[in-house]
Amino acid sequence: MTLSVARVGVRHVGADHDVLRDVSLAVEPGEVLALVGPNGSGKSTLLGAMAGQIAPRAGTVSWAGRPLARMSRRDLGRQMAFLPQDPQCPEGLTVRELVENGRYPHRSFGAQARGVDDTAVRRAIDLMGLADLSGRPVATLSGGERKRAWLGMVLAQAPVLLLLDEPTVALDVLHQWEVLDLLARINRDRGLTVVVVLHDLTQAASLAHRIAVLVRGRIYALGAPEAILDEALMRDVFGVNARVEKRGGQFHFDIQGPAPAIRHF
Amino acid sequence: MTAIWYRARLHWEALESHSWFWASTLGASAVTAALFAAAIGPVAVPIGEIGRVLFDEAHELHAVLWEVRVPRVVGGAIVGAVLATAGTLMQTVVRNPLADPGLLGVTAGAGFAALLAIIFFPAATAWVPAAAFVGSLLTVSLLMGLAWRPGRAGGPLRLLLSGVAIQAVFFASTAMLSFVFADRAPSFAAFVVGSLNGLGWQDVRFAAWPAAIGFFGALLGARSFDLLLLDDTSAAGVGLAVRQTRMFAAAFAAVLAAGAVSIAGLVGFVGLVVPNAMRLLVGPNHRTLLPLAAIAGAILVVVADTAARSWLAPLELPVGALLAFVGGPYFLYLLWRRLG
Repeated sequence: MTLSVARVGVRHVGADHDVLRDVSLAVEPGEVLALVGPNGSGKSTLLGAMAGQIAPRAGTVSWAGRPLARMSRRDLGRQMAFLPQDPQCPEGLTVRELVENGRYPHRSFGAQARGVDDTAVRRAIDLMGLADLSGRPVATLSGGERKRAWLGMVLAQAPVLLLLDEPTVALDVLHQWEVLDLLARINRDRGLTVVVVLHDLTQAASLAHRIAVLVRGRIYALGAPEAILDEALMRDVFGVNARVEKRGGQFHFDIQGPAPAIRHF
Repeated sequence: MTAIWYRARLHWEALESHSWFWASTLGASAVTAALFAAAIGPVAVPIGEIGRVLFDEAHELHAVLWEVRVPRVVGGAIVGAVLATAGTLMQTVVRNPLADPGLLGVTAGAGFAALLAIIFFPAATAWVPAAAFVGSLLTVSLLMGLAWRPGRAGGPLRLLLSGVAIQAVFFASTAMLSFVFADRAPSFAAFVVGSLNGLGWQDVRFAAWPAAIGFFGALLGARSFDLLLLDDTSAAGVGLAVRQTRMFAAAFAAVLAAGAVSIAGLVGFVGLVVPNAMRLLVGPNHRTLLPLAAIAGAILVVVADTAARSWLAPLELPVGALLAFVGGPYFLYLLWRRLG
């Protein structure tokens, strides 16, 4: 089962130009795909369209051959989970109550929790290291703990595909590392397919099997980090002169300054 | 082993969150309040004998108790429960704790429509609650259109100002109708402040249907309403049809508010005070919050009404006035905390 984006164009309401233009890509089962690009390049919009939350004005996004527009929200919720950048949680909601929300699409209308729901919630709580926090209100947690609680919710959802918008933003270094480590583990151990918007190229390169680079609403490059991350890309896409090196399995971006002129393609 | 440990832990946490404790405390308080409300009045019925008087049709106090006190207590309880539930739902719909069916003009809209029905179709009394429902539904939709911006939590100021304006218009229209058709309209003063004076079994039957429909819908959708409290994007990501669910919740809030209006007029603040107080005790989950708010709302109105009719007896104060004394300051407190 795979998500495919075919010649998708998106225009925001009232805007006079397309945020996404003729974007096509296929997410492969079991991979981590990172979406990167400068501000305003359309990466969050693409993620929203992949989640079926933003309706494309041209082209189709489909899941296992079915256009998302023809699937119900509940059906979509059973297949894929989507976590926005800054999710809002009501005052007083505890971590466990938040995580239990993830079972929503699997329960029939008005039905009680079943054993399988309890198990999924428990496993999500354990995996995110939330056992000691489960009775605490989410609002009283630190930024990193809160992010883990939300990740717990989408894991309890038991999706095939997980879509995340900038999960490391506004976290300190340790918690950024924790989140990335968790994502890598979930992908490896549970075979969960992950599509993630990331700002940080080092993070994208270390986490993702493939990277899609967006520039002004189009896909500029798509492939393994080794194949696409180089000096030319840094100059043309991000407008910086940078040395790109791979040492000890990690990418390093040594940024020397703004490139003299940004060459648009 | 882990499973057993986890289960034990769940039970412990459930106890810790006090839901059952509060449910039983409120249940006991409700019974006590009902007994006192039935006992107190111009003709006192000793509390210990209420049961005997109720079932002994030959007893001299039976008629007072069964035809006057009990319907008033039951009607008051329905009004309170219904308004508290409607308030909870409205707060969820606009994702803002300041929402209240009275404060935002939903009951005023229902009242106006009910008055139109009473004046122009005097024969069709059974349809008054239906007219009230149409009025409250229109007002709720209007409010959502004016105060709701997709994706974001509705700003409290936009919501309140829209509510104030809507209420003013319906209020003025109601006033005009009642003065022009003074011969046919019910007492304007009692209607506007909200009163349970002279409530009988006929009124209880009037309110019972919308109440039953509303409670059923509210409990059926409880789990979906929990998700409405998240931001729209996260809620949709978990598989919630956000727009439909929000409409569903608003429609049931409108049914409930209409039920209260058609028998008690514009009782305000119950829908504001009760859900906010209960949320502090048991958190925002609707499966617990909705039933507890309903019980607490019933207690509040029954107690306030008993106080209103016995305080300056034989003068009967309208219960709505008494509630406003509690509700007004509480609303200011919430507003002050919210706007900083």
